[in-house]
Amino acid sequence: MSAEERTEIQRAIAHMVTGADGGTFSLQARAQVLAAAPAPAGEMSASAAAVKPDADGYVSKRFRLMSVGHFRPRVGWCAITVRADEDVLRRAAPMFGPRLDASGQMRPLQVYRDHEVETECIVGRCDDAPQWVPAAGTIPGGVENVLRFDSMADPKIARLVGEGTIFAVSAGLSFRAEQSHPEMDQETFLEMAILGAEMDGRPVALVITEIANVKEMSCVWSGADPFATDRPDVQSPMPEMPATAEASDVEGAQPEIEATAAAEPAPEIIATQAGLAPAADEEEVEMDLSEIRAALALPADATVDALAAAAGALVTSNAALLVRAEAAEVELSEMRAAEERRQTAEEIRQAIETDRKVLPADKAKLEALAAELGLDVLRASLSVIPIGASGVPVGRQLQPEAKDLQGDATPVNDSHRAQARRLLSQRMPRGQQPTEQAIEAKAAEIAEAQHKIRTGQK
Amino acid sequence: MQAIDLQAALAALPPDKIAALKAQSLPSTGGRIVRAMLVEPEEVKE
Repeated sequence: MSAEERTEIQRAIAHMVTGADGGTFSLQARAQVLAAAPAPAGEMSASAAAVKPDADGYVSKRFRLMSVGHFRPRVGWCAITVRADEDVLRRAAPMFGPRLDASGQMRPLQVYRDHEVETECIVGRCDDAPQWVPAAGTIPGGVENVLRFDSMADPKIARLVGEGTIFAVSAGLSFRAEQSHPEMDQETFLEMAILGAEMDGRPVALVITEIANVKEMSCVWSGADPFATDRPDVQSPMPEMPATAEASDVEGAQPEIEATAAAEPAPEIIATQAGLAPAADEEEVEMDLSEIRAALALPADATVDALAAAAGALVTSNAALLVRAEAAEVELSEMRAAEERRQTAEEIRQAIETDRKVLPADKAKLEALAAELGLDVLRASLSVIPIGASGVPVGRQLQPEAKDLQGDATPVNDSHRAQARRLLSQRMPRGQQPTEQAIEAKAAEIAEAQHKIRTGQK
Repeated sequence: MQAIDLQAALAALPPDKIAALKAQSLPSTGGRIVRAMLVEPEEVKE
């Protein structure tokens, strides 16, 4: 496009924007603009390549600025379906470019970053005539234009746009809207539009009836229009976003814009659509969902089986430990009794060696007495035992032999039975007593465990 | 022409309905409407 053609188009646009009809645009004028600046075939692919700043420091790239179709921008705590029809967007196409102000000065369409409408956030401008690109295949029709990013004003943005790292744009619009299904009451309509529902084969949506103004363009990480990029021939991948936001968003979303709109007695600004970065809480929601998915991905059956097996092993181990503990208690009791007997035998031995000798024929009788009687009684008995010339020290025979401690089995005795009765009684309901059969079985179990402890078995 | 503030209308929905909508709503394709006024259906018919 030559400089003369560009100037002519800009004048035509300026005439439309400042026309005597107060901002409504004639079809003839718009057709003239679009005919004068057709979208060259293949130009879009070339514009998607890396672009360096020109001699004036501008990185210029063609972008799809807005497309026909349904979008789901967020509003407050939810997302809602919005529809832009071709006739409405084509009628507004001239506004996606420069315009004359009241003094007759040509003003560019300003390009911001992330819809932060402040002077220090201006990153570029749009000076060319917009172009309407018809639908082709799965790509909807839409408005395109060349955006020029100033590498001197914001070298970072210019570089990122030039190399294609930033590739999406979003239009700041004012528009009027109506219900796609006017027969619905308002609450039902809002509910269905938020849910993304369809009725009679059509999405329930806010339908844009008139774009009143294109206030600005912004480069964004991802806009509501997935085709609004430097490659509208390739739909940009859209990250999954939760449909909801915190309720505080309703009050906190760009209050300066709301205040401006509220100050107008008869608001021409019906709605403003803006592409913004996701709120921080969305990442947290995504993180929460990941954790839930990870938990659900666990092999639940295997986990339950493993826990059940571990619990069963614990029960078995606990039962075995309990039996061993009971046996150990009996063993300790018997060890105390054995120590008492050993002390008694030692006293007998000392008494015999000191006073008398015992004949071999009387040894068995003495051993029986030592086992059954106390020391004092035994001493009295010893006084009447006949004395032999080569008597055997009684104490040695009274010491228990090692084989007695490591015999084949420990016989069940009354101590085992008493212990078994006590243990079984503790486990039974109050007022009930264990049967003799159960006591005998438990006593045998304790005796067996005691034997294993004594012999070092497990 | 009278119009209805979209956000005010959303805020006026019953809390239980808001909670249900939050849980069931389709995700956003990006972008945000920071203020919107919806023309009443009756006015559209006129």
